[in-house]
Amino acid sequence: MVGAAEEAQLNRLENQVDNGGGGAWEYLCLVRKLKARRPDKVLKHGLSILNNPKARSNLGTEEWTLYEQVAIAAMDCQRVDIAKDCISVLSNKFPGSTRVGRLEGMLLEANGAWADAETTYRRLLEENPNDQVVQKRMIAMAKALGNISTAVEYLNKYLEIYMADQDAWRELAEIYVSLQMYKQAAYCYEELILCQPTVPLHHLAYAEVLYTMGGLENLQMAKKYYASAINFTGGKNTRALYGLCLCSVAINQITKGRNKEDKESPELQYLAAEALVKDYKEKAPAKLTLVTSTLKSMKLIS
Amino acid sequence: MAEDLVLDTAIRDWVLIPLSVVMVLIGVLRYFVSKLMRSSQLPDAKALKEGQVIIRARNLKSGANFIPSKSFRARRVYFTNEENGLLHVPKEQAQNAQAQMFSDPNMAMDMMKKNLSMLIPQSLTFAWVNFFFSGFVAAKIPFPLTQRFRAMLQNGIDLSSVDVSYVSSRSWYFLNLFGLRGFFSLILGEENAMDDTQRMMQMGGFGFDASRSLAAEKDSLDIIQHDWALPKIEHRAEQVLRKLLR
Amino acid sequence: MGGVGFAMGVLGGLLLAHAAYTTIQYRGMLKIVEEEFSGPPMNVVVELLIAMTLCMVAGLTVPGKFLSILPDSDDNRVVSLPANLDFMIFNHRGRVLPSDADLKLKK
Repeated sequence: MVGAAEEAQLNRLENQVDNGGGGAWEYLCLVRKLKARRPDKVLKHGLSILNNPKARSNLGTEEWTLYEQVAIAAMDCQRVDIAKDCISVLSNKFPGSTRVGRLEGMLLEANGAWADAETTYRRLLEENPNDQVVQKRMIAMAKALGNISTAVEYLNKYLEIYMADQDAWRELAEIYVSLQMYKQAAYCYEELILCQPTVPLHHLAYAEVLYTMGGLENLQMAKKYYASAINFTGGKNTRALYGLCLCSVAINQITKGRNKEDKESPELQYLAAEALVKDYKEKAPAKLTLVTSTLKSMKLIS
Repeated sequence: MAEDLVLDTAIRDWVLIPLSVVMVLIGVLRYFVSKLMRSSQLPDAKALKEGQVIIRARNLKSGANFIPSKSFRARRVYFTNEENGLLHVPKEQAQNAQAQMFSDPNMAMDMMKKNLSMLIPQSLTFAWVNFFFSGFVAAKIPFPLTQRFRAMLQNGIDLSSVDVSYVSSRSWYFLNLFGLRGFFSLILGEENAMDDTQRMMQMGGFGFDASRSLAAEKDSLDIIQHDWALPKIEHRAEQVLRKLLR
Repeated sequence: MGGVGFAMGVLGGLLLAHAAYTTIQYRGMLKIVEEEFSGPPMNVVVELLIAMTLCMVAGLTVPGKFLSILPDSDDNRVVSLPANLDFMIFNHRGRVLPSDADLKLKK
């Protein structure tokens, strides 16, 4: 979970580091902690620490963590040469380590040597069949190769045992959405909501899946989940506000002509529209007319 | 009151310090012996899965109100149905679990090793202390204590007239036995946190019965009342937006 | 604020100690005049109350600011999920972006 304050801190540190203000190590630590993916910055600033013997020795045992982080970032930037150097340093330090073995597998992946990577991973799995990270790498590799159905199959097999693994559920949900298998995706998002009931982004994603599926019941449910996303973000999530407006319009179209059903909060969509207008007024006045005209055509604001 | 009981410095040199040093050395030795004997066994897939099922069932229990009731009911059936529900444990299997655990030679061996590495040095040192140092007043703590601490600090001396702040050698042994954990975690690294108390817990927890906790989860899932929280949250969202717009 | 709070805490601690000392004195005096101890004298009670207030103020101000625990507050609001790093793949569109060739791990 990345909170607003944490993100602000990350961006502030990034700015500071980019402008040569120091604090590179704090920045890298924060990136690791928040699991952010900023490979180019990590590569640049991580290398600047690693190439400075004094700064490096100040880290103590954390040095090796940094080597790993930089290696992964380098692979993410397609700088296989740097990754290779980092990994060779690590494998000299920790010969026979599983963690370094994983990195070597990833290096093969980044090189595009899929078959070799697979043999590496299979070897690691033979040593320890319960290694979750390696199993996830296998899934990711199937995805990278474009074998989405294989990836789904692997993921399902993985989740049968490690069914409390949120990351895997999230990955599966995203894959299902990309395959337009919304029912399955909805199931995965429900699972995520169960794991972390107060994370608005899961509610939002679930609502989006429901809205995409359509149908009166789903739309009503989607509206409720958009509302809960609004609740948990304090009304600051533009996507949830838009979603709520769209849902209410769609529901109105379906129920038009029928007798009014029990409406729990009829004013919610108007409030959401108003909140949108207010938000745009503050942050993007140039787009305000566009938004107001759109909302007017939805009959949400007058 | 036995004011100013003078302790011979020879007691310090030949009882207090050797006793402490021996305790530390035995702790270190035990750490390495148990490290040698520990077989790195992998948790098998079934146990792993059971743990994960329990986590997921707990998640379902705590977050039940956040998913629609249809989804909740489907999940409950998936977990608790009597044929192949994840939490359902067939009767005969539940009874076998215990027997299986005892018949598993690996498990028994592991138990033995743990017990050996704990029990033998402990009883040996206790016998040693008892034999050589019984009845010594080995140290004096620098603050007064109430009578209740007599049993703790003056084990082995049956004199009620001695001030409680004097420590007998046998009590010093016990204090060392239980009090050196922090010291060990400093010199041997954190993973040595497996101290005696934890070992005892493990022994008690031996025969941890997965099927029992599965059944408990199943029961608590069965009685859960589903009350969809989303309509309430919708109202709250309305209030949030009103507040935002004000 | 922190300095004042700290001073108040110290003062509270001193008052507590003084109250304890006074009580001991009082009990010693009672023993001499051979009366039963029924409760601490009034001034000790007042002293204790003042000390408690001071310590409470210190306890609330010295450690730091209060942080919000609401999930929808401005600080805690979740803005993004962590990147799913376990499933990261490397043949993404970022691979065509140019990278600084000077970057190199020095041996």
